[in-house]
Amino acid sequence: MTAKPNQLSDVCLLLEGTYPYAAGGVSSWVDQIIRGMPDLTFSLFYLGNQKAMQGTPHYKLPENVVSLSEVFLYDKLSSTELTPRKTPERVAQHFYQTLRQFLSEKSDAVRIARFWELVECLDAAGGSYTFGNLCKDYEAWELQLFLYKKLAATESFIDFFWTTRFLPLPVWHLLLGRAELPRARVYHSVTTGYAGLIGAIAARKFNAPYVITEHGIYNNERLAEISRAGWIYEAENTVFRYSEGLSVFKRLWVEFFFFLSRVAYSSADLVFALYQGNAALQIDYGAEPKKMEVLPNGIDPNNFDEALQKRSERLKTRSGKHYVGFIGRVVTIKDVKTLIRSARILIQNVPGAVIQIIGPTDEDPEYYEECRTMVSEFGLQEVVLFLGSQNVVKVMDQIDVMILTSLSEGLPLVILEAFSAGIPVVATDVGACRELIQGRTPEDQALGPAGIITRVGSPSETAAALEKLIINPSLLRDMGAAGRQRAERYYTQKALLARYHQVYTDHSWSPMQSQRSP
Amino acid sequence: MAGIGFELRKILAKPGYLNTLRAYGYAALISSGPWVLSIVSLALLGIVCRGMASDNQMELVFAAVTYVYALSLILTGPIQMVLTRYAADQYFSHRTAKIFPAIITALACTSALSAIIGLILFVGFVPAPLLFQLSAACLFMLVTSIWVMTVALTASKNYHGVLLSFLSGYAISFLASWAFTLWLGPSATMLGMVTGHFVLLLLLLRITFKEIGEMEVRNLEIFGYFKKYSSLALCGLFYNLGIWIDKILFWFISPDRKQVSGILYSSPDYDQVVYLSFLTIVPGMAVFLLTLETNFATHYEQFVQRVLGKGTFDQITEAKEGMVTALRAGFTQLIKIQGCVTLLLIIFADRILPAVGLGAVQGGSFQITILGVFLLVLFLSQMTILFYLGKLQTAMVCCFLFALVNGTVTAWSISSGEQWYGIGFLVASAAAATLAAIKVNRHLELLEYDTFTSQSIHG
Repeated sequence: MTAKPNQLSDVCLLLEGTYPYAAGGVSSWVDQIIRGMPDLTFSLFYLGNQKAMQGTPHYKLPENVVSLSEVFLYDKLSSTELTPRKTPERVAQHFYQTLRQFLSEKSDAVRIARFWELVECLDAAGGSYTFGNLCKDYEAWELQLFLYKKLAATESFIDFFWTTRFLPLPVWHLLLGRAELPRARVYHSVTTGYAGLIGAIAARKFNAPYVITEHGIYNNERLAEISRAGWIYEAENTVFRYSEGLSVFKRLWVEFFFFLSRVAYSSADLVFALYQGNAALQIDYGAEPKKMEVLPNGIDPNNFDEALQKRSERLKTRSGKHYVGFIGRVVTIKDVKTLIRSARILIQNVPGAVIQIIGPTDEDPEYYEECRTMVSEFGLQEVVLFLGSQNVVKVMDQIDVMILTSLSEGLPLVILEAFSAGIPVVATDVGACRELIQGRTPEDQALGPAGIITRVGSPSETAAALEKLIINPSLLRDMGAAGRQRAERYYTQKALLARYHQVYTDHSWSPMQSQRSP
Repeated sequence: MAGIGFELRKILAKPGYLNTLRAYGYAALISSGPWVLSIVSLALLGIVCRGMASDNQMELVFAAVTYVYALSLILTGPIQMVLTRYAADQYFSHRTAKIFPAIITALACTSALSAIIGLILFVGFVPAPLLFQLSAACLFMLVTSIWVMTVALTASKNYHGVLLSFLSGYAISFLASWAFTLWLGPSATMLGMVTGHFVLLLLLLRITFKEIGEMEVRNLEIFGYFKKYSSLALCGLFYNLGIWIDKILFWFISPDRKQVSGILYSSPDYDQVVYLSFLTIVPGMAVFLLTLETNFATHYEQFVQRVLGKGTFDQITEAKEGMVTALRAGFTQLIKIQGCVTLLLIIFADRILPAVGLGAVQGGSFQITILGVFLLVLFLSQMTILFYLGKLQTAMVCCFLFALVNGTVTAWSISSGEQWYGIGFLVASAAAATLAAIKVNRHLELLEYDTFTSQSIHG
């Protein structure tokens, strides 16, 4: 695919580390959107880590993708960019003055305004201000010292120096990437973060509407990552002085990412959340409530008609066996161990129960091994079966009850798939699980529950919920029917595509269209 | 994360590396040390041989040896500097096995080059007996090789052996010259010098081989270093050129110059004065190096420790202030001691000069050049600091200024009359010392900024 960023496309998707290179939920969602709208043209702006580390694309680009531009945020800058240049005195002075204001500002709104001023300064400098200037100019050094004295005067200076030098590097790549931005009628970033920042920049540059869809919450993901990160320096015996308990350096990173998201939220005309819980978080992180809209993932329930049919046939003839299905990767976050513990309890009350664990086991071999050991220690080899990866559509009719013990989830597609096949779901109270099972809006809730919600990490509750469904065929049937109805009414791909198609083609929703100054 | 200060990390990782960096300073010193020694031994030779050879013959030996020293220092200046750097780098990366082959390779190249230059110079342009011509060419080759070998010595732990080698080398030179002159006549005096220097070179080779010797004798990597560290090479060239340019100008354009034989000229009035003044370099340099070793180096190491050891900015600045204080103390002491020596010599010049056989006419130039040496010591000390701070470019510019000013002002002074003799050297030392002082000050002021911002974000 050769990049033709000059051609005006209907939609420009801004993608950070996902489609078309990586597999996963977000990527398949993007694929679904693009393939679902063959009448629209798409240009893609991909943000990667390092070009050398980039593998081959996981997805073949559909015909309606007209261009693919790539920016690698942690690549080496060219020697031209690393060499300081003679910036016109007036421009440099204004730039550093604004940068100082930006760094000392406390109000987010003002800070964002200063940010745009900085971008304008760089536009005015027109290449006479390079990253080399930012690294070598004495004024930049003074600002670094100013920031150090303000934020970290008792911390390791060398770590502060490198942290504050690394933070702007990806942003600089993005600013350089402005030249590569495709022209489009709508800009849509599928995360906030860097993709959100470039989305905001693009919308501002071309005076076009800007939409954000977040599957997970970018800020939370970064926060979790940074809290765990060993590569960010923390003094030993750190006395926690922030409620978050993060070191100054980790806080710098967190605040940096939070700021990126704030810029994106403040520039967006429409912010989509997958479910209500995420929407609340986005508002916490700076999205305006009036711009928010909840639009869940969707699937085509008819794909599961055959499974639905076969399953209800099978359930009519009682075999004395009760099949519980787990579909997902065997990894820590899915908490398979709690499932195994609950199986031990369940088997005592329901001797015919069989737990099928369906999904890849090679992602975390150590965890898989631990699970296997646990199964044999409990003597459950006949009861808990590891079946490996299977075709989901094909195995659905073999499942009486679906189980999900995850520690964390977004909006799990597997629940929608279970619903489509008429399978009730027992799931932990994470992500969108409660909304899915009990309904989000009053009308939705009126359909009745499509399963049972349990506490995270509670084998007894999980076992009890499973038992309740297994020994109660009418409950099993009613909840399964509610799920199918819910999927058909609120979680169809058709509805998803229809809404986005409307967003992409009818821009009347964009209040910024006439207001945004170029 | 990108690497912080490779240079700094090297120093921290291996305290010995600091020692090898010091070698830069020593390289300059060591080159003045031996030739101070050779001035002394030549003077002794002159006194002893007075009866045996005619003044003309002795003059020929003096002029030839002086040419040999001057040219060999200018020729090997760049090589010494770059080779020192190479050795330090290899030493740091635990590839000491590469040092000896590199030195031998450099030795082979320089001796081939100096053999050719020596033969052309002394056989082609100095009418004298063949034995003398060949001995002089041979001496040139040997002295050149000895300068290259000193690089290995700066890293040597065997100070005793080195000192002993130099002492015995010069003693043998002196004795053999005397003996050969007595036995074979004046044209064999030079052969005595050759014998002594040959023994010296062998002793130095032996010490080096015992310490870091390898059976491998070829390492072509060293040539790449000349390109990489061209400013260092130029530094060595300009420094040695600067030291000699006034003398060379006196030989060739002074009205008092004397043609000794062929291309060999001397300017006895100026030469003797300058060599004598140069002997006073010793006390000041010794004092300064001592401060540098004990006080400044400790503070510098502390600075590096605090930068890499996750110190706060205040701690880093505090360590720098320590460096500055140490330097100030060092310079104060240097100025006190060298100043006293200089002042005493200036005051008592008219009593000292007759005692060493110099006329009252030379008194003025002596006072001027001795002041020049005082400033040269200041300049050299600043240079050592610049090397410490890794400011090779700046050091090169200072050396260039030194050579340039010495050349132009000396040329002017020669045409302006005797009372100005030596002023070129004085002004050049003053200018170079001033520039170097300004630069050292500036670099120290910006030390934190430099230390951090000179690192590339991409490691």
